[in-house]
Amino acid sequence: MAYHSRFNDNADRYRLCCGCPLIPLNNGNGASVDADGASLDPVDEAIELFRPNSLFKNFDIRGPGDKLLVYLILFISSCLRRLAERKPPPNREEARALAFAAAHDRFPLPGQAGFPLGALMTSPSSREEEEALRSYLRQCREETGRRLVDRLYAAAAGAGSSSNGGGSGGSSAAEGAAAPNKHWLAFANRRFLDRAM
Amino acid sequence: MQPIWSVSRPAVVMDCGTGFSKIGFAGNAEPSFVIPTAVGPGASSAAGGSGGGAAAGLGSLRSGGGPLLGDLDFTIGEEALAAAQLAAAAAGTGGGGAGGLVFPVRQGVVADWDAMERFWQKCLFHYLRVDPEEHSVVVTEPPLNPPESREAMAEIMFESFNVAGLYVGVQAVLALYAGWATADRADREAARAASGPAPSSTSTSAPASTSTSAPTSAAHLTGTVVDVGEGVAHIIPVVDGFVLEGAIKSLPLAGRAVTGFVQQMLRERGEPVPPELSLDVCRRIKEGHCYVAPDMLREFGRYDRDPGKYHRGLKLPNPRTGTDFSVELGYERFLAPEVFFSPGMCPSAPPGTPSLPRAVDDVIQACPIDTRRALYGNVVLSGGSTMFKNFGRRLAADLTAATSRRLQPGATAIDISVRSHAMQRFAVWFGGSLVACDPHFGSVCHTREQYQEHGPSICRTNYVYRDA
Repeated sequence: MAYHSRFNDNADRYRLCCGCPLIPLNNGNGASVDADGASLDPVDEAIELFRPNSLFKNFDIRGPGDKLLVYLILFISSCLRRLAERKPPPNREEARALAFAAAHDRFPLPGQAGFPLGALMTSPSSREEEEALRSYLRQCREETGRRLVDRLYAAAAGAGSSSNGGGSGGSSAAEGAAAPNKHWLAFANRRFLDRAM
Repeated sequence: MQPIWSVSRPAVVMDCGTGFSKIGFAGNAEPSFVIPTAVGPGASSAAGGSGGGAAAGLGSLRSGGGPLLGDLDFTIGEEALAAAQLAAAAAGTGGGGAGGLVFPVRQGVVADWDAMERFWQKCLFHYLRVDPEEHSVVVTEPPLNPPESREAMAEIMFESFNVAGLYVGVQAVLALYAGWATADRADREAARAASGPAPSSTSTSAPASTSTSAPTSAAHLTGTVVDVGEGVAHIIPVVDGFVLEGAIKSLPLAGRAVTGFVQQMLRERGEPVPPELSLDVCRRIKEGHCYVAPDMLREFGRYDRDPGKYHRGLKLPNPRTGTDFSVELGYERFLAPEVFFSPGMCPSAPPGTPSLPRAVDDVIQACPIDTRRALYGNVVLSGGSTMFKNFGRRLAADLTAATSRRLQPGATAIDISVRSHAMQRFAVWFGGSLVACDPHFGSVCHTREQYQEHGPSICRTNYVYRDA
């Protein structure tokens, strides 16, 4: 079965805005750490669970953490789609620019037309709740885009595997001009829960 | 009375499934032939003339057959698939042959008796080259097979081929025989010590001698058979040799679904596989490179950390153009067999299909309560699609998780054992081979004389061995 968010049970520790928990993102300042030593961060979690979850046709929401997870998975899917559309495949700098643009695009909030999660999140009750949610979501989107690009282009700089088509060899460092990891891009065409952002 | 079986006149064992038929002689450990269960147009009626010569060999009975001899001009197995391709290629120019490709067995059940009879005819006369009058035949039947089907089998065998004897074995029970015979020596010693019959020193490579000890106790004929073939997966509980038909479950998750998943993933990634070879390439990938991972999420992590170890590249020849094309393998190596355990991933499975461990659990829970521990303790795998690495271990782990969740505090844990053994791929065939080698086979096999005396209705019941 599909994998669910780790924040479903302890979501009451965080402030809830329209049903979405505002979990502080990990900027290297140390958030709560789990058994693997990796920090529990909704953005990392969404990137981790993106690949297994997009294979499933159904996904039941078990808590507020899942709502944020679904939102971020849809965002990751839309980023991948933008990257896949560009031919020839963009290099790291272009990808970073694309992801930044996608993150700061005008996005609808719950209650507004075009919000991908529909009725899962309630519309904001007050002006300040709306502002808090908008700034949190924008921050999440930017972080997700940045870390996603790192993941997509990390393989070329990493173990020097044969998995990347074309691209420079294993010695290319952070500014590698390699093509994005095609195993990730294969998921670009999958529509998670039949929704798109 | 003359023995039904002897070393010079072994019984013929034919296990015809949806995808492949396994045929051979009793007393062997492996079937002599494994051929696709397909009946196709004859070599000469396909692609008139020149192209047909290539597909001759073990092909048609008569060459140059026209519409008059159309009935007798057919091929089976690999030749049938090749001839059908030739016929399709020459569709406009060549004349119509004896029809296209026919698959007589669908979802494990014989759907086309005419084609089945032709298939058996070719098997007996051309592949095995036996005179059926001198041999007994063991055929297998799927679960929930109506008795009329058995009568039809008997009619074909005795009337058309005039066999010396016939035994219709239930596939699940034969698979259990196979599981028992190849169990660990230690297990068997322990069981023998517990039940007390005389010990015999045997080795698994001599089925004739192991069978003297195996069928003397009916305890081993209790178990759950998980038979995953090409078209459908069956879960069949058997208690004391009696199949509990009300509890049988079938799942549409089988070899074909796994191949389809590999195909979908390759297509999404844009691998340069020529479309006409696509199914064949995917099947080869499935059989050669796929395995079952203990946990999907952790496996993704392993692939990320060490891509060189897990991602593989294959170089395959393209027979049509003569050049090679290379395919890269990625996540489908472990995701494809995962469809058994997470059917939500499989596009062809209807929503609500339970996963395989869940289905096994449901089946055992539907059985009488006093049989359940025995059924959990002897889960036997059979069928080509259970050959994935770690399949048995993953099934056992998931089953244990499902049962321990339900345990009351203080209750004894349920002992789950999934038997994964060397003969798994042809477990049903091997079981048939063992049955036919047993000294008591003569008493359970239906002979020609009995058939002539009483008619086909005698074949409705086929006994399993009991204590003497």
